[in-house]
Amino acid sequence: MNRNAIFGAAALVALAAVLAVAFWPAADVPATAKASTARYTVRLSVDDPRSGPNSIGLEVTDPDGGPAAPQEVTVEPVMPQMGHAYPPVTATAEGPGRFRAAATDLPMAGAWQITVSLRDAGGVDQVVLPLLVK
Amino acid sequence: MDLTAPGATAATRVEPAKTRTARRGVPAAAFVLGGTVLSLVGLTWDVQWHNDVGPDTFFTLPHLLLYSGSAFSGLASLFVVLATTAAERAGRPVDPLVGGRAVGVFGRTFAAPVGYLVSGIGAASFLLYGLWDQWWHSLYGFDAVISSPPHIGLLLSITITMVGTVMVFATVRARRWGAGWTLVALAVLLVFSMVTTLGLQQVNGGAVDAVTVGGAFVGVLFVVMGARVLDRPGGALGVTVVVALVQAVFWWFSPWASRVYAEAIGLPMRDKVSLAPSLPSLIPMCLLAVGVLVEVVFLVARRGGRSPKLFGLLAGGAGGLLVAALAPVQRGWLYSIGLPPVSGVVATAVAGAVFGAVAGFLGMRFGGMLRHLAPVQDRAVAA
Amino acid sequence: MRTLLVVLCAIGLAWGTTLPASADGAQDGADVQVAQTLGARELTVVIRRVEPVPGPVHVEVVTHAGTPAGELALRLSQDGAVVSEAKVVLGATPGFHGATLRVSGPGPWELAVDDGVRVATIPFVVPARVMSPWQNAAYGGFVAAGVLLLVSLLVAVRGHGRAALVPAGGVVAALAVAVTAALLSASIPPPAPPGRDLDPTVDNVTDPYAATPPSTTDYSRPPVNLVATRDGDLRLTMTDGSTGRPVDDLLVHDNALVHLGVVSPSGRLWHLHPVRVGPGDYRVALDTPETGRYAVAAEIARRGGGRQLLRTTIALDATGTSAPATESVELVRKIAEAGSPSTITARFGTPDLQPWLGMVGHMIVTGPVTGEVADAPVWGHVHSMAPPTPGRPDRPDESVAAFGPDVPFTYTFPLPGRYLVWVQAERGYSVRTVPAVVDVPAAEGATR
Repeated sequence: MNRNAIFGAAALVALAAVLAVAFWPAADVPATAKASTARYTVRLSVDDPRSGPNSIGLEVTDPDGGPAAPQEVTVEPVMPQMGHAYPPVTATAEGPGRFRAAATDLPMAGAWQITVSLRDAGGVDQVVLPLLVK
Repeated sequence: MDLTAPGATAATRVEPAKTRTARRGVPAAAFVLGGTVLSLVGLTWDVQWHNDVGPDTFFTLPHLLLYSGSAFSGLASLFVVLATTAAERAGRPVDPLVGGRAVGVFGRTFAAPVGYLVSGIGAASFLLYGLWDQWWHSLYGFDAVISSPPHIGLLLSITITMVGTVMVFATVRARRWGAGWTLVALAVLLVFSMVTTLGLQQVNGGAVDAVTVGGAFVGVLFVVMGARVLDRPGGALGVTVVVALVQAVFWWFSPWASRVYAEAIGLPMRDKVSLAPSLPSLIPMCLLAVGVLVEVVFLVARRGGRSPKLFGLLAGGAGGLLVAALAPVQRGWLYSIGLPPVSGVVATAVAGAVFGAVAGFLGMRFGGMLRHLAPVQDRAVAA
Repeated sequence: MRTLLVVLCAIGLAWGTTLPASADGAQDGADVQVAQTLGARELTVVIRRVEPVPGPVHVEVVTHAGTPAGELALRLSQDGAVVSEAKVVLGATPGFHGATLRVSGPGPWELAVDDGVRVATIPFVVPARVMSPWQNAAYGGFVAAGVLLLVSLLVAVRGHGRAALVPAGGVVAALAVAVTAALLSASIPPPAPPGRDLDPTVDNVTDPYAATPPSTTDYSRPPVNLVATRDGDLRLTMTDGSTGRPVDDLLVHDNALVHLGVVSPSGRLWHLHPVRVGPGDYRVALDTPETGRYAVAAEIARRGGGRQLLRTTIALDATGTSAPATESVELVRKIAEAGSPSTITARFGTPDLQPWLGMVGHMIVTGPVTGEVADAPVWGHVHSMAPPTPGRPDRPDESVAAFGPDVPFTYTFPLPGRYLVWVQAERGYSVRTVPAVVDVPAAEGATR
């Protein structure tokens, strides 16, 4: 095996590596969004948002960053561009400051607004979070 | 440094090779020169565009000209290098008149024609600098100035291609077309370098205006090189006549092209557009006088049979003084901005004389090097 | 000489460029100008073009004649978290008062203007510098050509003539890709701008080319329902006509989020710019000198395009005696019959008018008045435009006092009858209101 062959093979491998890096499909990262009110910070996370039922994970913290415990957390999906609102889903507690609205129906691809209402003894806090459904 | 090695007599002895040179060398050389001219046209158009119209759409026609100019030169250079190396490998005689002498690379001597190698590397370097430039603009936006590092890199890359072009033509200077086009290639290099000197804005020279001194330096350098590489009357004047012609053509072309293009893509012209076109205004109008001056000095030197090196120094100093002293006058006249303070003018003129002398000296040396590229018996041809 | 160098610097030899993503009210990275009626102050808040990002944000608060001196707190926040704060001291003389804040990145932002009693929040988008895919293809192609050219030269001078043909072919291919991308790019439409057409998120502002599904219809949104109540301030509640949700996607149009016209029973006009205090919740301080039914008309623009005129009425009790100032200026009237264009020209005397809300003059029209003013069927808001300056997409701000003296308006009164008309223009940082009554004759014969 002569040096030319080695050189050529090395060049081909390098080219293949560059192409692989450039065109490798990106891993599915969950869609996330965050918003705060004076009392709560809500972080929304949805793995692979698709049209149909989706499972919406919520992490609710107080202003100090610790887990918060509102009495009720509901998720209200709206598609503002179409003027479509869908029935609210009450999220169930999964752990301290962690809630999940399983089987939230988002029947269309496009830009959605997820309004999260946090009810406690003091009243209702609302945040609006964007979610892009593919 | 001696580039004239073995083939010195071979080329003059083998007559058929010369005719093949005339046939084969011309298209490739024309393509390389055409590419550099394309880049120069793109540059004057682009500078004028940013002056008169301003905003960029994504990829303007002037930018495309700049890029394709380098691509043209690069492809033509690559073709000649490939053809030459293939010929050498096949054992066919390689004509040293195509692009210059064989050059040593990696400790071994190959038959790569050095002129084309230089222009090819310049073209490749230009295309590579594009990446840095794109990154720069993604950071700083399109308000970035002409003297940004990637821009200077891009300009210097085109300069390398143009130097390679000068080498390609200097090799065949024994022929009439070769001598004429050597001067054209030098003139293109001179005009282009006037923009590159704007990079000297970054230099704080106090009362001395670095850009003017830089302009005097490159102006003198390439005029003296023209005189030295031909080593007969007409070299210096020839370069300056071509420069003046380019200046005249661009004076009309640059504003016209930027206006027509703005109309074509529906962008409005700026309100306050200077009547003096940007790039042509940078070229010293007194260069013709410098050309005459250099011719006269060399004539005296030849008559007296004295060392031309000293005269190069002398002619360079005088030429540098002339260019640096008259540059503020030219600017004051073109832009109606009056003259800068006298102390600044004097300091700049003195610096221009000093750098002009250095340029004269270097011009003689570089001209000599260009002469060594080809094994030609000049005196026999001139006779 | 320095001038020349400055000129040459300014020329800027920009070889590569980028596409600044558009923003609401700030298309192509222009300044955002928002009129705000904050308490007793009529302010114009100017958010200058933000570049670079992250970087400083210059905010200017323009005060008008009669604006009380004092201090405003400015806060920039993203996702409800405050990132930067500054104070603006408003002097007694009207004019520009600046402060510098900071953004930490592109995306949707909110500027809070706090006078200690009320907090106005102005949503805006900080665009990112974005490279289009075809731009990357063009530059990438040229760079690849450069690399391959170098490789090819190297291989050739090493004596491998045949092998050098492979990268040489690559040079040609890469150049073809680059030139094709460069030439075709001009005809490829840009993606829908986040902010103007789409709800802005950090993701779609940072990369508008990423898989945003194309709209199946146009981008326009449902009409808006307006409810006016009084709770100290006049309070406007805007809800989506289809979902009932608060409307929180108003765009800055004609330099305001909401242009509110209020007309009292006796025909006094207030032209105000309510401040946003929450989603779909706009408020404005209003002192009423009369008791009765007031006409309320709000002009808004929702994200996705289209402007809407929202009209309602509200019964109010008198709360004070202060009424909006008016003045008398000669009006040249060329009143045509109903259905044909009429022209009213206000003669302000000297050419020193300042653009207000981006326009030299505004004319508010309501009528025909037969019973109560609040029941007038027609509402109009006519503009007299500043002549556009070629090559300058930004409209001049209020610091330019060079317009006028004649301010013409052309409007077709749709119905015959008696109309109330107010001409408004700004001079010396003070909005001048010229009231008038116009009688429009009926058209003779039927219009066919």
